[in-house]
Amino acid sequence: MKIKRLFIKDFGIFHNELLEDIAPGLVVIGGHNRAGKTTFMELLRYLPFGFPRKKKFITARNRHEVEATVSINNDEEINIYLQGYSAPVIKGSKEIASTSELYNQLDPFTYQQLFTISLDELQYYRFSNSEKERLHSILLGAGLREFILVPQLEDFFYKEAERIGGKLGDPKVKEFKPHYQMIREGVKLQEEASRQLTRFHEKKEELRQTEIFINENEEKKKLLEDEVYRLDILKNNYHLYTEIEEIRNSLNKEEAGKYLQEEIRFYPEKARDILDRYNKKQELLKELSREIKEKYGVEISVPLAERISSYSREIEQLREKVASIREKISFYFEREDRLKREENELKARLLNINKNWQGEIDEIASLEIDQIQLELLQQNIDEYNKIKANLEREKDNLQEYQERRKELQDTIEGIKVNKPSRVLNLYFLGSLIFIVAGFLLARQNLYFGLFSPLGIIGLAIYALYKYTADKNYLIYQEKSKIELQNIELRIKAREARINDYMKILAPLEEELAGYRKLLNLDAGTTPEFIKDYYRILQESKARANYLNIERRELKQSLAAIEKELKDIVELINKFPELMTSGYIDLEMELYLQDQRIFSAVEDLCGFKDNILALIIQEREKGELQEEIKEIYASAGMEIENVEAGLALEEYMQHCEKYLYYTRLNEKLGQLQGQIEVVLNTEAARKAMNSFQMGFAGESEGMEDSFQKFVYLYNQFPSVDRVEESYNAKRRELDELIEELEREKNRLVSIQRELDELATDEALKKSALLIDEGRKNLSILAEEYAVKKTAAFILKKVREIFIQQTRDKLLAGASKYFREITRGEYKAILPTENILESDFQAILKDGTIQESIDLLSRGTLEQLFLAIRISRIKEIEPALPVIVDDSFVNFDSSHLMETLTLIRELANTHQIFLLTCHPHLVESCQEDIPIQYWRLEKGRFSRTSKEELVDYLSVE
Amino acid sequence: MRKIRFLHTADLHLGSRLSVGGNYPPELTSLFDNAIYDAFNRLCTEAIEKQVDFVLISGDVYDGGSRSVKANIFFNEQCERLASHNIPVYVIAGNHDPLSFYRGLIPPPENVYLFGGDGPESRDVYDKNGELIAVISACSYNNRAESRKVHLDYKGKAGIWNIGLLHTQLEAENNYYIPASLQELLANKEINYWALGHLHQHDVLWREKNRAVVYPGIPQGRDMGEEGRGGAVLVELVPDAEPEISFIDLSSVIYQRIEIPVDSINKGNLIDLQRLIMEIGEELLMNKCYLQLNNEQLVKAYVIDWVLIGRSDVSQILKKEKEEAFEFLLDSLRENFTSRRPVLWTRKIVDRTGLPIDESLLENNPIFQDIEKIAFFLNENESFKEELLDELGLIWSGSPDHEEGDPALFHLNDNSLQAILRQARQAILEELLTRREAP
Repeated sequence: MKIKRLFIKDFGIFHNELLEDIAPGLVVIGGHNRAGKTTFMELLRYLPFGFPRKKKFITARNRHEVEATVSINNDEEINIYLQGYSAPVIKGSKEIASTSELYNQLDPFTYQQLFTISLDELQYYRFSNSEKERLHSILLGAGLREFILVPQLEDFFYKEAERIGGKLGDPKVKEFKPHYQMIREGVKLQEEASRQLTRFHEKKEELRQTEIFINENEEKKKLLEDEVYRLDILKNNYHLYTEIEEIRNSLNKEEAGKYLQEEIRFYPEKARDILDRYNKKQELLKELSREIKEKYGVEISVPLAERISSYSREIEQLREKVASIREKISFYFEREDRLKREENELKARLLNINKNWQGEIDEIASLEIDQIQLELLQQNIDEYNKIKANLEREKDNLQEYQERRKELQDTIEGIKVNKPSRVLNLYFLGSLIFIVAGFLLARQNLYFGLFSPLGIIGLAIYALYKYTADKNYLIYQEKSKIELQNIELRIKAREARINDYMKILAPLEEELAGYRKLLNLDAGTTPEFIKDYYRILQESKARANYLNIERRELKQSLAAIEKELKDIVELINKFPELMTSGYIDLEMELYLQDQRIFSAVEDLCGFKDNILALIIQEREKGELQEEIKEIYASAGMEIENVEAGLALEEYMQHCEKYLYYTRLNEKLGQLQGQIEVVLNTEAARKAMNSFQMGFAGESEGMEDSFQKFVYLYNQFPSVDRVEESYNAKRRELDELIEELEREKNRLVSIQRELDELATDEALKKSALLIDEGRKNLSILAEEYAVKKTAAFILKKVREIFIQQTRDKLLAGASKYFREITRGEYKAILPTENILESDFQAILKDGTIQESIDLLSRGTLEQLFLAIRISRIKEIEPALPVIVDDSFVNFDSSHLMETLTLIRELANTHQIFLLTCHPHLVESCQEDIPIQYWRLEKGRFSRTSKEELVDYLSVE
Repeated sequence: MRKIRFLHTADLHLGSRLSVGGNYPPELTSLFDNAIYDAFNRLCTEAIEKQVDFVLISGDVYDGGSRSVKANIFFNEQCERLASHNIPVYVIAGNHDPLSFYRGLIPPPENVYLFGGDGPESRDVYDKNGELIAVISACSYNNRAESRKVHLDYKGKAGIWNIGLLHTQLEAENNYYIPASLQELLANKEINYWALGHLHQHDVLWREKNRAVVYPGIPQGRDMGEEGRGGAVLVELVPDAEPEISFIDLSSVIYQRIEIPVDSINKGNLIDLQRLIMEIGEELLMNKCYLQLNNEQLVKAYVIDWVLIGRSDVSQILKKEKEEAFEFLLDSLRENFTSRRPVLWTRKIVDRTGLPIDESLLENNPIFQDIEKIAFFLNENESFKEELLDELGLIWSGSPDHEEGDPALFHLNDNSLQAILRQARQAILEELLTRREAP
């Protein structure tokens, strides 16, 4: 393929630049620096692929625009059109659709590296490693094309493997790491768990030891607790026992023994009580004697007392008798008064009824009023009264009728009445007058004519009224005349009846006169009075009889009173010493001296009471003396010849002592009791039971807690020492308890730990970790192994390949290298590792320069040029080659050889040789057609060799 | 010589735990936590029910890494159960529980006899009537490794059953776990029954008249390395007959690795993949994981590793959204199968898938040919394998799974090597094609 025509519309320095008829062989383009040489190379470099969008790429005024016409197979022309950054467009070919077809699928890198050669391409050291590697495969040529993937793949798999498990497949690194760690963690746990067995046994032993320790110390603790408890008891009761000791000392005295005998009893309370009572009794007796003397002025003598005593019942009865007599007397006087009053009343009454009555009551009694029968009297009086009443009534009626008769007669005579016709006449006359008057008036005025009818009507009303009234009066007069006739008849009947009554009344009045005479009454007294008077007389007579009887009875009761009083007085007189109330005259009526008698009785009774009281007190005093004797006896003593009071006081003194000792004794009991109560609690009994006294001999008999207590007491001289000992033991116990508590807690924790150890939870956990880790790791390990194996296989493939192809690879390049170096070097070889970005150069004498690093700069550039030319020649179709001043480091002879090679290449390839060096242009031998172009500030112009040399020679 | 019957077990690993892929829901706690204990409990029940003459334990009663009080107490309790039925227990200490391990433990009841480690030792076994029925020769591990060839010196008595207890990997060059070979064992003509322990897979290595060499296998597997059935063997030695050896299933949890080819869902997505796994899961449940157990009621759970293989576009999703995708699959599988009986518990999902590749494109490629060549060599050439192993680094320097090793390291067995090679090849081809296509 050759470029025939190039139109650069817009690209860097170039603007509407047209190159036509470009030679198909060697084209030399000369230009100074910045004329656009490199820009031109870049243009050709990207022509097949389109311009790259990279930052430092050549700019355009507007946008890149290039058109090229290329020829293939000598005749066919094809246009390549490039605009902006778009892909190149092919025009004018039916067969070829894209530049990549045109360039035989060559990739840009390969094309640039092989066909566009500037110094940059030859200066190998400038490449990065990756570029070197890539370049290396390009430079090694066609046989490597398939193979080149092998090292890439090897590398790929190796890196993949490395990503998973690092270079060495160490499970500790990369992706393995987390799973490895999980397994390690599991293993660590497993190891720990496996140690559990040992721990289990250790703990078992520890448990046993701890249990023994606890059991032993529990026992010790119990003993110590008992001891502390004992000391506590002793400490709290030490003073009590000290007191007991003291009391015992007091009680051991002889005197104490006397009072504390079993059979002796002192009753101090009773003695005090007796003494009290005795003294009071004495006092009372004295008081009583004095009072009696004062009151009665009598010295009390035994005979008197005895006499009183012997009559005491009779005297006692006197009180009742006096009371009864006092009542009787008072009743007697009351009755007597009443009798007198009634007698007087009776007399006064009789006198009141009848002034004629002057007699005594006895006279009344003798009145013979029994002759009159009260019933008959009553009959007569009633009959008389009845007749009398009828008579009176009839007389009244008569009088009434007579009065009516007169009244009627007056009425009849008084009534005078007009005849009815007369009224009518008057009426007609009046009417006529009114008619005439009306007529007259109507002549004056027609309305006055009304006067006459009105007057006629008024008259008519009056006449009607008058007529009616007169008619009523006439009727009434007729009736009165009839009644008058009736009354006349009745008056005559009444008068007949009055006469009848008068005839009956006469004998009755005679009878009543007889009664008046008998009863000494005035003649005028009414029958009613007669009757009443008779009745009163009858009652008074009965009353008078009753009063007489009453008087007789009074006399009798008085006699009885007198008799009783006489008996009393006789008894009183038996105690003449007591006659303080005055003398009683037996000759006189006694009931009149009643007050004096009663007073004497009172005195006698009082005296008797006092004497009797005195006697009782004396007796009680005697009883008290007996009691004193008794309490003496119970104390085992006798009263020596002393007064009871004194004896009692002495007794009391004994009592004091007795009490003192008994109290001591009681106290002793109490104290012992207190201690025993304390010792009798269960805890104390337990504490005491465990106590072994120091010496075997006594300990057997001294099982009683109290004895042990006493024994303990005797071990300590003072309570302070007990306290000290107690505190020490207490501390010891507390420490022991604390230690035991600690050990017990430890026991629990050991047990818990043992339980935990007997499960395989820890092992399970560890196994889970290992299992999970191993599962994941196994997958990665396999993946790693696959990658590694792939890499391994590829490595082996590569080795075989290299072995087989190494010598053949660079045969062509060696030839060119030999020519350029004029036989100085005879060959280029890949290194042992064919893929290593290095070459070996073999000198003509056969010595091998192992690495390109050993070559001079020029030689190195020549080496790469040789390899490139070799590769350019291998690639079909022949593509244009661009060489941009690449030979500056070649000396002239090498340059000549190089140019020879270039010229030779120009036979098959179109070559653009860009330079600013006149000597290079000059060195071009024109054994083949060479086209010269001058490039000046972006403008191309065809020129000749000489002109170009001249142009370039001018600075 | 009369017929005797005994139970032979080994590798109880009491105290260790099941690897079920991390945390599990509370409803499975009891099952997973107690599976190892339950297996031994069942073993003791079997011993009592079958009225065996004695029980043999060929090492590794306990798990060295997990000294546990619980395990200690449990073992003693179970042995007491056997004691109450007059069943003696003969035990040797293995590499996991060498004699030094026993020093810290609560001593077992009297019916348990733990052989010493000073050298081969013989013990007469009498039946209930006081008749001598067998002689047991054994030697315990003093430490974690045992290089003495003790089995050569096991002595028997004539006219009686002679039994040898040996905890060995049965590799003549293995100096850690008693260097021994089947030939050596068979060469010792005095021993009728070799009760081996240490390898966790049940294996009857030899059986002829009056002789047998047997690994009982682990009673309860704990990891994918102990895949499949677990149990012990009930042995009847009948004079002049081949020993009757019956395997007794004891595991309530069984490990299974299930490969799932994803090619059928080439254009599918994660949901399709989930559905595919679920379907296979259902099928497994329906067919009881294709295991021929003599007591199917025993199994309460299968612990499954799903290994996705083959080529599918799903692979891209799995690789791109790795964490999310696997979390989704794991969660949904666990959720779906946890409530089932037996439970199908997903331990993990392993992705070994690749993208669909047209290998014909590479047929003429010299590099592709080289790759195939080298992959082939890796399978065949030990030194090549060694070289690769070096390349795989520290993490793949682990010892085989049943050994006591660093749990952070892995062991490359043939299976894993195959899987890794397949994946590596796939990865290279994928990348190669991708890059080739790229401009």
